[in-house]
Amino acid sequence: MLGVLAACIVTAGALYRLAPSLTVVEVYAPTAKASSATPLCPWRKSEEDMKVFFPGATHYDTHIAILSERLAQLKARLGRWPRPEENPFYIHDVYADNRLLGRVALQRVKGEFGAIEVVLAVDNFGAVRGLRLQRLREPDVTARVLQSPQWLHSFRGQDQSSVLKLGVDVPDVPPVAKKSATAIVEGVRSLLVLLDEASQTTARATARATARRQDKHH
Amino acid sequence: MLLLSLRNLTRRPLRSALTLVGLAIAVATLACLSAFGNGYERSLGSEINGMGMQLMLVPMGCPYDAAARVLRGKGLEYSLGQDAVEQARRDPAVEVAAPLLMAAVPRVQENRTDVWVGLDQAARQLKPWWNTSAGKEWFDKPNSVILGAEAAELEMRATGDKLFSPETRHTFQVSGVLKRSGTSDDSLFFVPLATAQSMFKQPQRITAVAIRLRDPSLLPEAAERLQKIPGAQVVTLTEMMGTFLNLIGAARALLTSIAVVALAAGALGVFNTLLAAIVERTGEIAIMRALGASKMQIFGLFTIESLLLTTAGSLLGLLMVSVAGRGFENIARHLVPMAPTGAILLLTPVLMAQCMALGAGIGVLAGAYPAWQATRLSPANALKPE
Repeated sequence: MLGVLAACIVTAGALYRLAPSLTVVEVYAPTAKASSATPLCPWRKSEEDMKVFFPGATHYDTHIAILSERLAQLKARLGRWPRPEENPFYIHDVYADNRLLGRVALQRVKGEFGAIEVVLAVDNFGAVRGLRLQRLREPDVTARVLQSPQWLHSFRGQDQSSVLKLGVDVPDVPPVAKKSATAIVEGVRSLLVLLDEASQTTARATARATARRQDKHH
Repeated sequence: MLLLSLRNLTRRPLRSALTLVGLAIAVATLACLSAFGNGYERSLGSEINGMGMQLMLVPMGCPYDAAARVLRGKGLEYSLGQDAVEQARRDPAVEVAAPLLMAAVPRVQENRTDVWVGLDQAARQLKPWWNTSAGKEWFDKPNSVILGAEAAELEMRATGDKLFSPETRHTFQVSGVLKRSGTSDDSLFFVPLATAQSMFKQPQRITAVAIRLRDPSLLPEAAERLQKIPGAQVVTLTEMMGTFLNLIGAARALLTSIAVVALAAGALGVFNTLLAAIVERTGEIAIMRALGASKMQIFGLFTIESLLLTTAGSLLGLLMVSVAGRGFENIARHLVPMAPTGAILLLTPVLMAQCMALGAGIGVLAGAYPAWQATRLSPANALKPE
């Protein structure tokens, strides 16, 4: 018994001596590594999409942005409260070796005939690089319009400051596809806002951590 | 004497703790397996009873496989003629005969399958839990679809929305969304039987007939008569449950034998701990004897030590099951066939008492020999200087 007690005292003493070097620098990190849980809207053809959106991409890294502290801003910008699948928000950072090429995010939107899954790729400045509909159950005539390269390419270059309205930034579509097209446009706008808020949150957290570290040094 | 036993055990805390943990793991394994058996049986039973039917008519083939596929919401490769329903309904013992047509549409890109179920009005009588959270309770048009809660969530559909089936090129209107039931119904797309038959080009064909009898005691005779319907075979749900329990039972027997070995190892640990304690405390026992302690008291002392160890081990084991049981349940759910949706780990007070009694029994048995050895020590010999 005494032996165990002595061992405890010795270990505690050693830990106390080592304490400064073991101190964990407190960093508020609003992003976390993706858990093994599958998001409601997973990136289904990641390899193919990466090649199309970011030629030369070697890999991607998924992280989860926690946007809880930005709920009020999100509500104001989205015009609605974020849905549960938008917070936590899954972001896929695409790299060429160690160089960040851009990001990919996904969103489910309510199409006229079923859910539509939107894959959006943005560059490092938050401008749209590419868009793909990875899942939809629209009738052929609607699907053809929505998946036409011209219409999808019209999103290129749009960013979070764009108005993003059918017939304004994005070409209008025939009436048959209007409802689903509007949903897609709104989905893209939401994704751009979410990505922007996520990057702002990360930047703020990094600044806070740096400031805290500097305070500690002083 | 209890205090003395406790003090003796804490003299070698590490040895006592290791013995205790070994026994705890053995008891936890055994408790987990027993709780799993009880829970699985009860949950499967309540799920099958909740179906409101006693038997199913399925196409010829392996009846259990066929019925299991239908119950799990998977399609069958073969079908029955719809006249089988009329024949079944003519049977005097049959109260309700509900035809079903199930078809699975794989969506490879999405790594899932849409399961469409065609039902007629009779099916409602077999589904007392059929409740929609929104919209109508039943199909109002041939192109109506009622969605399970998960299916509606996945497709982002609400009452009045359209739903398109790209594979069969049918457009539906959502007439209702079912309340979450925790069963396979949650992920299904329900449509009128005739619509399903036209969608999947199976005119006048069905995949199964669910049957409820007027009186469950008529089951043997009814099954015998229904068996004569051409191309069909009868599967009673009791038989199905028995088959699943047999399957589980075989695996459980194997795992129980492992748990028994673990228990035996735990008992040997207690045995070894006590034997070592006697060797270490020979002088002390001799002094106690010299001071007037009876053989019975020495025997009692070691038996209590053993009982304390095993009781604490059993308690720790049960605590481990209570804490980690949910994790075990999740793993088991993925490994066992036909895992019911209800809780499959049922740790009842009776089971806990049984485990405690087993632990105590092991304590008495494992402590008996060392305690007897302790009583045989002669004080004069033990105290003789070497």
